[in-house]
Amino acid sequence: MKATCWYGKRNIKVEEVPDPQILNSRDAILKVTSTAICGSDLHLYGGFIPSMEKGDVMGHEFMGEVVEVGKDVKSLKPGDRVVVPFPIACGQCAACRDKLFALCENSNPNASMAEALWGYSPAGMFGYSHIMGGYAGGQAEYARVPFADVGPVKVPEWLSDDKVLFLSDILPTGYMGADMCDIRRGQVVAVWGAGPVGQFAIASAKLLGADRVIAIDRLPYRLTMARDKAGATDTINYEEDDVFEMLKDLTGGRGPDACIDAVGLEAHGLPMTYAYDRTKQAFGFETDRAIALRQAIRACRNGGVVSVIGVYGGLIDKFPMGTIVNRGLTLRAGQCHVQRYIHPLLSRIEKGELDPSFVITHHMSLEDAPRAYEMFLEKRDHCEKVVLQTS
Amino acid sequence: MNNTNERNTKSAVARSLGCQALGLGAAVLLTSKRVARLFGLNASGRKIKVFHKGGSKTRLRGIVAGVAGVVALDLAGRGIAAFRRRSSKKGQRPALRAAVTVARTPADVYAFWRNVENFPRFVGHLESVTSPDKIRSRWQAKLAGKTVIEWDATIVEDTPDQRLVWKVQSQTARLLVDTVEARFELAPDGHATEVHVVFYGSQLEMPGRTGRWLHRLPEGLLVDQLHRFKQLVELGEIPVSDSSIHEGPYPARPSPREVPIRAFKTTPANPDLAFGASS
Repeated sequence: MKATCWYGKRNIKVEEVPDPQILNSRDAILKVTSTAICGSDLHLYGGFIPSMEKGDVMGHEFMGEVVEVGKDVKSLKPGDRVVVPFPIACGQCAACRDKLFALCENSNPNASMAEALWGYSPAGMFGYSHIMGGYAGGQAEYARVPFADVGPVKVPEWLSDDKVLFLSDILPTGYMGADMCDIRRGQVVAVWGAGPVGQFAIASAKLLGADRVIAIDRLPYRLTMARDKAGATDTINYEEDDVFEMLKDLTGGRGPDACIDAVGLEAHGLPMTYAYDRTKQAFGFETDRAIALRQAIRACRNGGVVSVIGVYGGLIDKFPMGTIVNRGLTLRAGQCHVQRYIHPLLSRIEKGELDPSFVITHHMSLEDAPRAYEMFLEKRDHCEKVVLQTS
Repeated sequence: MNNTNERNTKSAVARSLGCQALGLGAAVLLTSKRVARLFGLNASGRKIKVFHKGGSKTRLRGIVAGVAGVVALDLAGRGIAAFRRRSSKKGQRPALRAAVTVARTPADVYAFWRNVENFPRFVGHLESVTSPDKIRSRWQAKLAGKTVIEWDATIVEDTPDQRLVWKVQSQTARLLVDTVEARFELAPDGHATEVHVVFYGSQLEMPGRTGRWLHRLPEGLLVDQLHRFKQLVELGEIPVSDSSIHEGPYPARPSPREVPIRAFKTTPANPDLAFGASS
């Protein structure tokens, strides 16, 4: 089969690899129909995530048709059309029983590697390094899905791939970012990053009752999408305006009630700050650039919530702990527990309350993946979200 | 063992940060203006403005000396700890330890561990374990390549549902491990079991920095075996990924050949030993 494979920094190839096989009794094999490139795939593409091996199959946002199931999968059969959550979860351990699926205790075969880096191991993930389990990803014609009786969700035929594909990651991730903010009516939420996850965080904050949602980015086309499609009430281009001052202006000097970091470890910023963090990152003094996170913490109102859904991998510099402690902020973070949110979000899509397809700017074929990665990284052609189709 | 792991990781991080700080300090002293420009600071004029009025190099020397002092303190602390370890009493000191919490009762877990013939089901390198009299046992493991090693062990302490202690009988194997203790304690939630495993054997604790570095390998292996034990008893099988089915590094991509599910026997030899896939 054809698959998108990682060969190093900015080096992606689509090549022939063997077809996947059933390896465990609760596996399923999917014929992938649509798969997307995630902003977090760009961290792999840029060489920021350790423990990748040359030849790794990429991709953790995918959906398709079940073609084979293991002997213990009773809930799916060949022919079913499903969307697959990116965290691999057993459904039986203590974390899964608490609905913390991205922290499944049993799905990462390389748990000791993750423990050495982070103390304890999170769940395994598709196509996202060997620390996260060394599972082949879904940017391929076929994919093996472990614990197929827990993760994949059947979707109705009348909903197109474009409307349901993002249930695999970015829609629930954006929603969890807003869910962690404890939003009440009349509140103001600021969202750093108007990429696809940021767009869904904005839309979710509105759905959950925020009165005012402020989008922050540097790319005008993304801010336009945030205002026109996701429902942002205000936008700030940080290259033109001082974010902190603007947020104070927009909130009567209080600051936003909640701040969502939908940016993560490759944040951009004003030239001086960016140069400082980029230099430290390049020389290994820090692994992640926390420019957006620092701003979010500083801007949040006293006693507010900072919700982090952007990906961070290791260590950051100049973390303003004094601000968090002295102003009583709550910091929440996590990889999305997709299995917890996927059913209610599918239901909202079915009812027409949400149409996540508005983020798609490009449809391309799987063979075009190398060009798509490059275009997405460089934000050419107003690229917001690329969907790769296998046929 | 987690403590040791954490200590090793912390030491490595501290050492790396210390070296980087010293490197940065030296760079600042030698090429202060260039470094300042690199960081976007105003390095025009005679003095670097960000480094305050007057005596910037003196101030920087002070900072570098401070960082060097912290590194020296860290190294001294490590030296003292190493001395204490060497001068402490040899013998039954724990050399490796690890723990895992599994969603089973202590009685269930004890019963599983009490029958040592279960071990090859989750310990990757074990070929077989036989124990006809349920007290003495013969263990066979395959090392890298095709070398097979064997040793005998005997249960010397047995507190049902709580604790088991094995004594290794074979002289050669005792060079590595002398005694293994497993404790099964009810977790605070009243349902799960904390499994604590301790390997005793003076040769496992190798002195010096190299010894500590070499130590990480068996520690990581022990953690992995306990994770596999948890997977086996909670799920009824051991989940694998596209790379984990291979010995050694392998990319996360489907295997070109029919995959043998190596060492992870999902079908128990004796049905009485099996836990179901769900509790």
